[in-house]
Amino acid sequence: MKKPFLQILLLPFLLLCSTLKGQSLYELTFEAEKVLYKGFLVYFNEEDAYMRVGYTYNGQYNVVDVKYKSVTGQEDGYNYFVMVGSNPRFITNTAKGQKYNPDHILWVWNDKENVGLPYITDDPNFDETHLQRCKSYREIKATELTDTYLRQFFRTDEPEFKALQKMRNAATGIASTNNNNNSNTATAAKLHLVLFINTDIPDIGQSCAVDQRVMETEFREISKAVGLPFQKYVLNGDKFTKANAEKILRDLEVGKNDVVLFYYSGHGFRWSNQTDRYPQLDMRYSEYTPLSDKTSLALSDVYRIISSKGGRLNIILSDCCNSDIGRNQMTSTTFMASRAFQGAEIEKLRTLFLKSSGSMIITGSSPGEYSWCNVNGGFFTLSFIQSLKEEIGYMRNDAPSWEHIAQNTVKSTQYKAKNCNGCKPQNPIYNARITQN
Amino acid sequence: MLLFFNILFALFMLSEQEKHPIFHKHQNIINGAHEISVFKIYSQPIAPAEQDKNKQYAGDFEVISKIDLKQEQQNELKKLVLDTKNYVEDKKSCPMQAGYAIKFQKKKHYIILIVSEASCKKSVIISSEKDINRHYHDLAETNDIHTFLSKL
Repeated sequence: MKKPFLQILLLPFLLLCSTLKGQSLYELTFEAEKVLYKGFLVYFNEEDAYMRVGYTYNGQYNVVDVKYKSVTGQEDGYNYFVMVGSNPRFITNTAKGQKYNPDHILWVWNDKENVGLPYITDDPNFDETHLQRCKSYREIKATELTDTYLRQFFRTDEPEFKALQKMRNAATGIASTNNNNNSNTATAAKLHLVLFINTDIPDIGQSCAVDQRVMETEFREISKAVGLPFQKYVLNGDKFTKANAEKILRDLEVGKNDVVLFYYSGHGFRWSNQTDRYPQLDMRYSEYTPLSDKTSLALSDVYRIISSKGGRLNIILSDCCNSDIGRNQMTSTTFMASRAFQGAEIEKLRTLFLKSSGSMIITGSSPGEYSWCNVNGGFFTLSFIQSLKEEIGYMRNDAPSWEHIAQNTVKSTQYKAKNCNGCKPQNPIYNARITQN
Repeated sequence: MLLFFNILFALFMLSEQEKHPIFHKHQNIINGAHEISVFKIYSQPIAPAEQDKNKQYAGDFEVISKIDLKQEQQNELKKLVLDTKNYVEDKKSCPMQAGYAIKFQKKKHYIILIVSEASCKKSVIISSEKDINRHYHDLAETNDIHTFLSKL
């Protein structure tokens, strides 16, 4: 038994910012051969998603689990997002010979044409005559996950069922052992968010601005969630200079229980005679400013400066190239935003931000490599946020750790670059020395 | 899957066929150029107010030397610059270091394509046409424009 096509509803934000979705829930419906199918899609990242599909056939209700991997990209001015289904597995009892072909879902859009309902097909060759438009698609809020609703897709003894119950209870304010009450969490501690964003540079400024919005939103919401007072320091626009950067770093006052998160989005490079494996940050907002050691800053120096401030936890990130500039150094003389925050287990956030000590430096690419970006932002930044969200999601059972986030960021960035048309490999590098208290 | 995308994009692109994704309707300046020049340039642009009137600039880049092209080279360059396979839509976060300027002149209209050195392959259009002027486009890691320039 199998329908010829699926109908899937993908959220507009999933299309536009697919990489940002750590643990997102969607419902979609479609019809094939007069059979109505209802899907419950759980999206972690490009390489990890699944959909439970419920449908009645010959009077029997069936539920199938289908795994998904995704590819996103641009071609000829159009964006596309494809979820390729595989490994169908019946959750309900099956009749002899009962089969289900995995469905594949795709969205196509551009600046002029908004994304509509996705197309669906079970044809692995994507023959256009087999493409069908989905009937509906929407994001599911945690508060909607009643037991009755969940039983359409899960057995009550499945761990996923229990995790989703937990998510719902947190969203509806029902007390549990791991409730999301953020009171009495951080005493005399603060979250410092230092953002150096090259928004004015002509080629990638727009993408950097997207990165800034994402990072600000995420960490403001994190600070609220864990009860850490939030203070941000933003360097962008025509203030984006080395002198201003050094002043911010110099003046940064960090308490011994504070968390400092430094993030850079802009051009990066390495001098031909450089031995440091981390990149130079290009601190010029105008292309008319010559590039030299007076207009660049080593990420390693930022790491040293911030680490020396004595804070409890220091996270240093940069989304920029680490490629040879071709010359020697010159001595010139939402998820977290309200709705998306529904998927975050606050106890896991507390572990990461309140019960961890040490420092981590991580940058978007290895020596000699480019960091890639597009209108959705930097691949590395998107991967970091995605990995962070995934780490604190209800549906992950492992204890959260910064090391694990770094590992997943590397993996996810590699995957994005691999699936980008025309991109070369991008392999982030990091050094994490963080312990849990 | 690639075949599928090609079909789908073809459907979406029907109304856009006459428009070049990089040079828009101004591709005719390149196709119909009566003068095509290639210059070796310094990597660092000079702001207009600081430019030396006794020196030659392409865009805001000081010219080091002009490279003469044969007619067949000029024809080849037109094709290479218009070939979208030489460009990529995603962008690299590295600072462009200019190396060459390719100028197409058609009467009063012009397009100068500033092309990077090989270390961070990018290009920027300097043009009399406002809608494409100062637009940045990343070049594919293996592209025929750089191959052509490296042989000059």
